[in-house]
Amino acid sequence: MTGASAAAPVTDAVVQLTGVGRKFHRPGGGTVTALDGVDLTIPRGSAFGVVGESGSGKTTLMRIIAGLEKATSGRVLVDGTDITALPEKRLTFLRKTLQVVFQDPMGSLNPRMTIGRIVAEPLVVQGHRDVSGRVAEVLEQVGLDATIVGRYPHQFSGGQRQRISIARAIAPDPAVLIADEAVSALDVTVRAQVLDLIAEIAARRSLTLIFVSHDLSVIRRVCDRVAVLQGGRLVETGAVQRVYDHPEQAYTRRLLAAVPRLAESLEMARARAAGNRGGRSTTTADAGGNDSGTDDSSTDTNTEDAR
Amino acid sequence: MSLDPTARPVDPVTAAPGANRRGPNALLVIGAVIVVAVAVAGVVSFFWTPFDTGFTDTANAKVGMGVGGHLLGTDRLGRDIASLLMAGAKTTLYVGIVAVGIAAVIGTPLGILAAMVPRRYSEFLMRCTDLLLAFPALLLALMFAAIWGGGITTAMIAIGIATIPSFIRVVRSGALVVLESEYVQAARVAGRSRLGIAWNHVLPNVLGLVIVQSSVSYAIAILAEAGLSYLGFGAGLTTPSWGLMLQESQSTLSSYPMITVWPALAIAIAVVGFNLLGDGLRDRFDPRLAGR
Repeated sequence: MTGASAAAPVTDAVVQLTGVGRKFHRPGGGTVTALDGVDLTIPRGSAFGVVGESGSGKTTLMRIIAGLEKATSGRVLVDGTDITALPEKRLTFLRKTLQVVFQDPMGSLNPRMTIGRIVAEPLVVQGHRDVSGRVAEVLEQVGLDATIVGRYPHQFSGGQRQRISIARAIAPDPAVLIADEAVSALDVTVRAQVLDLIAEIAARRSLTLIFVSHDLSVIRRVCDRVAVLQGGRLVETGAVQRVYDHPEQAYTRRLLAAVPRLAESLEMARARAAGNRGGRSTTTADAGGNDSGTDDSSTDTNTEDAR
Repeated sequence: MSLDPTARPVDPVTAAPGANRRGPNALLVIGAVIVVAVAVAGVVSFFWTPFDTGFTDTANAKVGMGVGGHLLGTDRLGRDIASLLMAGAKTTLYVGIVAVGIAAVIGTPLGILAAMVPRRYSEFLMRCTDLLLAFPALLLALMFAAIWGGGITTAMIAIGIATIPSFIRVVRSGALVVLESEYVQAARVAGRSRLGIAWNHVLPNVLGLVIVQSSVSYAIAILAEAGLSYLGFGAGLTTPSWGLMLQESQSTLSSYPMITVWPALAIAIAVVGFNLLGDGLRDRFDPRLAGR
């Protein structure tokens, strides 16, 4: 992941927001401003982090870019097309261009659908051919065995489900992948693996990755650029290393100080694991899905890649 | 799976099949046994009853249990009570299936619709639902009987229509939860149409609620049918029915109470059975209520 220099002019923006705002009406009257005048340019091929506390508007921002919600002011361009006023029926191009990996590994897979049908959903809806071949291919790319297509989500661990979610997102071969807190609900050891998997897939497929998280250390691991949101406003944006090492805004500094680093969490988890050698079920369960897989370094062991 | 640290309280309507946390609940088993017993009695009565239901054993009228080979005795005309109860179970099942079927088939799509359409339309739909809810099954059936004449068909349709609102409400609230879920968001991002989301995601995940509601509504339908038949607006005189048996036993209530007790007991047990089954299934499908 080569970081684009902060000063480089943006030649090719895949997502461009101009003065984007979003207000919600309270049921009892009054409005809440979730986003306020956000200008943001996400260069094609970049790994772009969006960071902020809960309530900062980062999820609303993600939902607007994904066409799940409409901005109440401003303009949203995705791949050169203005999606601000397009009704959901006319977002076909966006569905082919952009996919999302959601936060909740339990809630993002329909419990009544088989893994095969879940991963095939975007392919079927978008009228692709050779659906089963593509499903097998992407399942293997995320380190799962293609034979699991007949099983149901509840038979898998959190980490495995998130891999299934990733497989579904990359199946229609999108140009933009949004990860909305995609690793926040995972156990720290699994978190590192899934994070590396997302980064690796984004790099291999030269995707634009938009990574939304409250955790700067997670963003630092996979992103080259970052935007910091606070109370619906963009407070700081720039190369990850610069923002991380020399935050300009007091808010960013507070955010940095408040978030425990992934590396530290891993240390703590390892210390805990050493304390009780009973063996954690999650890590073994997650490895169970992988040992039949054929994927490379980042996915095949539980501890090795947790640097 | 429960050891997974990422595990959260399971979403009520999306609880995975087979992911039940507890063993079979005793009340659920009792309910299931009663329901199966009623169903078996009704089905067997098509082929066999201890006595023909039209046979009047005049020598043994109004006898008690076991006399003249009559297991539960005979009624005022000498008909075998056990045989009448079995044949009545058939009518009860038939009426319940049709009435609950009407309610589920109409109420489920309307409930999903109410959850998916813009608010002003759903408000309208729900107010109509409230209006219909104000008419109990019995009242509606009496109205229908006044217009089209009584009979078992009118009764079934009236009970069915009166039961629609409960399905709309239950399905709507379940569908709202499903529509908030991330897998529906993912389906939207994949480009699924609203109809596709309703069919592939919402419907399969509210079916559990529909089954529970069907079981509870079945109990109400049994009561309504018995009530209507008792009042003379339900089963005709030739159709065996528990409600009709109650009505016919009225004249002998003080002298031969057992003739009244048997059909009353049958109604009570069947209603309790369906209610237990419904409650038990609800516990399974809706962990929010578990342990209450």
